[in-house]
Amino acid sequence: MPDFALTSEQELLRNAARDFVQRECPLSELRRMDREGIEFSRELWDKMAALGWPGILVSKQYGGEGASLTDAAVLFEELGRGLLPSPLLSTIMCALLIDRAGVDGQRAELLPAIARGERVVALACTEDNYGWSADHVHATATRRGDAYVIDGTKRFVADAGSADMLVVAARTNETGLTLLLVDKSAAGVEVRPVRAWAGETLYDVSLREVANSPENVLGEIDRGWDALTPVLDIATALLCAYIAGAARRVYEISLGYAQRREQFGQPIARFQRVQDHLIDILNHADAARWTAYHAIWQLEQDAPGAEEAVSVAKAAASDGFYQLCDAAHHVHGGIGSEKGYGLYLYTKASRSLYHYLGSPAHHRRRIARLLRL
Amino acid sequence: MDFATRYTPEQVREREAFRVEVRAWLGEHADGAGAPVDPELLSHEQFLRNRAFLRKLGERGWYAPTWPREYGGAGLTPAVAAVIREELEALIPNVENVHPPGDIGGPVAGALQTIGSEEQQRRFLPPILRGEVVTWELHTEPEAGSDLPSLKSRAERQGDEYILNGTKTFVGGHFACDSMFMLAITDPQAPRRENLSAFITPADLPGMTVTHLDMLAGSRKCTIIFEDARVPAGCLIGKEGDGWLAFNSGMSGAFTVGIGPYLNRDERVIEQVLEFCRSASISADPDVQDALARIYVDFQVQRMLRLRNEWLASTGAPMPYEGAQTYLGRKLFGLKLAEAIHHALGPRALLRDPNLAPLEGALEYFHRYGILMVHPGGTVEIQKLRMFRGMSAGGDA
Repeated sequence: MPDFALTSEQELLRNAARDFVQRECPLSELRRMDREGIEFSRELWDKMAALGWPGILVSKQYGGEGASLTDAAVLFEELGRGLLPSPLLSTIMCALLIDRAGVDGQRAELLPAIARGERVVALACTEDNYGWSADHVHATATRRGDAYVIDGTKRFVADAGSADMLVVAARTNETGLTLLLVDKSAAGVEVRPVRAWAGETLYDVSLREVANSPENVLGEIDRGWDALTPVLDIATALLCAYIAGAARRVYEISLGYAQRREQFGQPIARFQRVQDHLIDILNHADAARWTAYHAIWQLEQDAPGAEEAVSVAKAAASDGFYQLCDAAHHVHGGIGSEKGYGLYLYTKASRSLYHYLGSPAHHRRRIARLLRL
Repeated sequence: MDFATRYTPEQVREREAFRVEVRAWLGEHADGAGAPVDPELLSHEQFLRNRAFLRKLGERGWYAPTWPREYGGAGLTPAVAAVIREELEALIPNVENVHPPGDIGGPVAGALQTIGSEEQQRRFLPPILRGEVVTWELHTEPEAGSDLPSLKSRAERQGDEYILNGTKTFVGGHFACDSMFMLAITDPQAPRRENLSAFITPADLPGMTVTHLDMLAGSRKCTIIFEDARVPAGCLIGKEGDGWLAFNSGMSGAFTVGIGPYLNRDERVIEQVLEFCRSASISADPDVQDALARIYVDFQVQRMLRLRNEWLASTGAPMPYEGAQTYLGRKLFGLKLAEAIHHALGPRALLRDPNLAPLEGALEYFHRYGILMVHPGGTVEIQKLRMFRGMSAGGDA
């Protein structure tokens, strides 16, 4: 028999994370941050760091928790449930890159600082032609003497505002990409916030003649995409767990509302048209949850089907979250669009996370390739 | 968390030892058993050959292997019993059709187990669980489909018999049956549902007329009219008024009998379709790739939800909505799969011609079957009603 139960440690982690999110970042706080255009709270980040979350996947040797991917997924599911805004996914993703592709010196310098929450790192990969394949990267890193000089513009970069360091993917060769660790304060780096859907903030990162010493190169020259791919898969699976948590919460909010709200002399949950929406919401939420954990499990086993499982999960999660938020607005009517009620925060996430780390169409193309179609 | 079915080293030893036995036995007895992908094409001769095979399987207790021996099963654990299914699937073409869906007997066995008397269990269960008899479920009536409890068939007690009048439709399966399981009103004054009783009767009642319905796919269906048909009083399962309980315990699906309900054909269908598209170079088209990838994602979602159900069932945890959810998902998946195949293959998907049809006409059949499957066991809308009832009962919001 399959066994989908969490271990008792994972249950503890889940409860701790749920309590933390409710206590530290309730709806009123989310609303305040959104209203004031704040996407990062140092105070909140420090508290998350005190719980060891930025270093959850960093090995103990470098001051991290050395936890399993399933543990991390349990955490992300809870963060998604409460839509906790933080650069945690970006930072964990970059920590994994440093751990896997970096040299000892880079690990020793950066990983303990990341685990302590002292460094926030973001991945600057996508550009104007948004996409998550190597072909989409046009920024260049040109060798000049010992240095690699980066030129290009990164667009739709998440968490570049709160980060103090960027991992930049740049072309060092017609067919090869290289990853570079770029200090945000380095000369030629300019980070500009870009306003997006319903007040969401993304970042443009302009890189003009940014000179990097060889110590800033992360991993092998020209082989950056090979290093990035498995890490993107892990980050995508964790993002799916986050989406699954958010989706579940939208289900609970919508069902609860339909059971309380009375029209025509009865709770609207009695109407089958409304029930149809609630059923769709739950179907999408359950699909997101179990495909996410399946992907995590496959990654943990290093199974040959892991890439496919990740793409299945992201295609299901992105499409499902988007559609279930639409359905939640059908259930709610006017109150769903009233910002104080808070549903829109989930809807906003369903839009902004739809393409992040690969759209459903991107992942379906990958599935087709993996199925040898 | 573990998404794989794992066996303990002892279970592995037990299973592999048993596999040797099953293989040797099947090698000797399974010859000639099998079915076409489209059960409509099952010949009567082949049907009889399959019946003979199922009876031989039943003699060893392997037809209902997890049931206790005294009732005709083999008393095997689910882990060991699964070997029988694995081997049958590997050996017998379209094994799910060896056993036409209407003929399985699981629901009546479940009803007997739940409310039948000890005497009835000893009398009726062994022939069902040994695959000796075909038992049809007679539920739907012309005016009682989704609203089954409004059925009108009447069973009136007269001495040692019940006099049965009424019409059952969309019932049965291939060819013929040996016994029938049905509900009828025994107390017209009693409230809805409490007025019903369950019967298991012989299939050759005087006063019974059978006509056939031509269906779009799957097994043939019948309309059966009872006019003053006399049923021995001993055919009543449990006591009068237990009919609705009998129906529900039968439909719970907890009582696994026969070959059919074990199997999940969707996996094989998906693999066949993908393989066909690869070999026919259809899949170079990006639109086709997207259609196939979409259906593949849906398929994996359904697979995960079924695994979740397996896990929940194994822990005995409550499943307020999950059963209806996967049943609903499966029905919708059948339609979506047909659409994806149609989209990917164009008019070729509709060919039945033995010389030109892809996969010997299997795809044409799946399309018809997907549409037919909307209704059995309750329509999509009924599954939604069941699911929502469970969602509201869960009450975690």
